[in-house]
Amino acid sequence: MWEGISTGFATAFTLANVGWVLLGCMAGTIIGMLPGLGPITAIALMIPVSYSLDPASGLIMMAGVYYGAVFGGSTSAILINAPGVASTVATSFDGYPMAREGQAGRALAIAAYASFAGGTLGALALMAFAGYLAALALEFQSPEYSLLLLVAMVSVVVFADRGARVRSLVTLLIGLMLGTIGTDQLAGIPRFTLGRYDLADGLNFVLVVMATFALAEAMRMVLLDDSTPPGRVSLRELVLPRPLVRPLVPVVGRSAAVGFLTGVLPGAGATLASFFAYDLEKRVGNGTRESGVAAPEAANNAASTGSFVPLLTLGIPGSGTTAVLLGVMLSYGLQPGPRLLTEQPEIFWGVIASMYLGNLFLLALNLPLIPLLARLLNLSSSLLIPLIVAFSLVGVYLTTLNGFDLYLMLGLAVLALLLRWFDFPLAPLLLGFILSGLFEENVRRTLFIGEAGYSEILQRPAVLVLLMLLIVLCLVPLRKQGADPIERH
Amino acid sequence: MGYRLFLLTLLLTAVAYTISARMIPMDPWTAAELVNAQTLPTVYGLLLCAALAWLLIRGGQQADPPSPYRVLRVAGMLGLSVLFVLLFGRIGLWPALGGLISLSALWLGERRWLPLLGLSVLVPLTGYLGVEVLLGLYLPD
Repeated sequence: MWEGISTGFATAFTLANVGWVLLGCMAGTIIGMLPGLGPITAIALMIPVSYSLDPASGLIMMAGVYYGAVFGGSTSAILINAPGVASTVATSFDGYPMAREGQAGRALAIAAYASFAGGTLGALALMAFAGYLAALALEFQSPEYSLLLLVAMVSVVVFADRGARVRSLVTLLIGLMLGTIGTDQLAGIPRFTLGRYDLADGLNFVLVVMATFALAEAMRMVLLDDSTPPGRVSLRELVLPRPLVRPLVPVVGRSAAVGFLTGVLPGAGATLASFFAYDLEKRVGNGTRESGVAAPEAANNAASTGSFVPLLTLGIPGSGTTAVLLGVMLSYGLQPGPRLLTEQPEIFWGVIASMYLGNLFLLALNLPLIPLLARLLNLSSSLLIPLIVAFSLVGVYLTTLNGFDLYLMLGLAVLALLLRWFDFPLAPLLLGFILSGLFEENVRRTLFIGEAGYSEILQRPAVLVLLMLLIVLCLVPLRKQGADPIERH
Repeated sequence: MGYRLFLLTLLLTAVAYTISARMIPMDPWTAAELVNAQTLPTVYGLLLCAALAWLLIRGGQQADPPSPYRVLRVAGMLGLSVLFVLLFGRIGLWPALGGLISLSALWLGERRWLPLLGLSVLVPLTGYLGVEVLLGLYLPD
C-alpha cells in the first residue's frame, strides 16, 4: 500500500497535475455557486476539457471539479437559503439563520474550514480503508437500504417535539408523495402525470428545493417585511476564535466519519450523509448553530470522498455524479475495479492523493472570497428579494429548460409558504422527496426477493441491527423528550 | 386562508391522490406483485389522510393572518414571476430576467435608480456571459 501511496503522491504533485487540480477546484466552485448547476452538471461541462488530458490528469481534474462543486453549493445555501445541491440542504438549516443574524461571514468560514477538514479526513480514510470498505459496501443490499431509509424517515418524525410530530409526518408524507410523480422506475408506468409529458420524469430536485426554500423564503420576507441586518466581514474575522473552534473539532470528526461511511454505500451519498450528521450533532452535540453548519459540511465533503470507494475499487457508481465519472473513466479505456489498483496504481492512488491538494486549494480559494460574498446580504430587501426570485427561477430553468416547471415551482412555493405560515416544518418534506424513489425501489426489490423466502432476509446481520433500531425508534414517542433539530426548519 | 381551511384543502388533495393511486393502470404481472406501483402511493395517501384528520379533529393554534397589504405584495411578486415565465419565450431569457428584477424591485418600493438599473442590467449580462458564452450552454427559445 505504501508503495502505491508514494506513486500516487508522485503523480498528483507534478506541476501539471497541481495546475489541473487548481483548475478543477475553481471551475467546480464557480459552477456549484450558480443556481441549479450542481456537481453532475459541473463534471459534464468539464468533460471536453478532460478529453485533452491523459487519464490520470483528467481524473484528478474531475475529482477537483466534483468536490469544488459540492463546496460551492453551500455558499448559496447559507447566503440566500437556496441550496442548489441536495447535499447542502442541511447546511442551510443553521447557515441561513446565521446569515440573517449578521453572521454570514462566520457561517461561510465555518463551512469552508469544516469542508476542508471533512474532505481531508475523508481522503485519509479512503487511503487507509478503501479495500475493506468496498467489501462491506457490497454486503449492503436492498433489504438493508430499505430499513436504513426507513430509519432516517422515522427518526425525523419520532424525534420531533411532541406537538410537532404529526405536522412533521404530514410534510414527510407530502415529500414522499411528490417523489412518486413521474414514471414508475420498476414497471415503467406513468403515475400522477395528469397525462402531461412534462411530468413523465417526475419533479426535478432543484425545482422542489428552490420552491420550498429559496422562493418560499423570499415570499415570506415580503409577507413579514423581514430584512437582514447589515454586517461587514473583514478577513480578520475569518480566523475563528479558539473557544469557538474547540467544540467544533469533535463535531467535524464525528461528522466526517458519518459522512465517509454513508458515502461509501452506493446510492446513499452526500445528501443522506449531511442529514444524518446534522441530526446526530443536534442530538449528541451541543446543538449550536455553528455545529449545525460544520456537521453537514464536513459530512458532505467526506461523503464525496467516500463515494470514490465503490467507484474506484468495485467500478460501481454510488451516485449520479460518480456515474458520470465512471463514464469519463470508461471513455479513457479504464476499467474501474480491483484491477485498477493493481494494473494502474498511479491513477488509483493519484486521484486519492490529489484530494489533499484539492481540499487545500478550495480553502485558499474560498476564504478570501467570503467578505465579498457576505456583502450580498447588505442589499436592501427591495433588491435582495427580486434577486432571490430571479436566482431561483433561472436556476430551475437552467436545470430543466422547461417553462412548465416554472409554473410548478410557483405553485409549490405557495404551498411551502402556507405550510411555513402554519408552522409545518419543511425539512421532512425535502427529506421525503429525496428518499421517495430510492425507498420505493428498495422496498419493492426486497419484497420481490422475499417471495423466495423471508427467513434469508432476516438472517442478514445488518437487517437485524436495523430492525432493532427501528423498533427502538418507534418506542421513542412513548417517553417525553425535547425539540427536534430538523423539525424546526 | 385559515388553518382549518388549509388542512381541509390538504385533506381533499390527499383523498384525490389516494383515489388516483388506486387507479394507476397496471399490467397483470405488475398487478400480481406484493408491492406494486399502486401500493406505496396508496399507503402514503392513507397515512396523510389520517394525519390531517387527526390535526383537524385536534384543532390547533391559529397563526395571525397577515395584513391584506402584505398579501397583495406577495400576490404582486407571484404575478410578476408568472409574467416573466410568459414573456421569456418571446423576448428571451436574459431581457425578461432584467425586466423581472427591475419591476419586482419597483413593486417592493425600491426608488434608487442606480442600484435598480445596475442590477437589472448586470445580473442578466453576467448570466448571459457566464452561462451562454463561458459555459457554452444552449438555451432553447
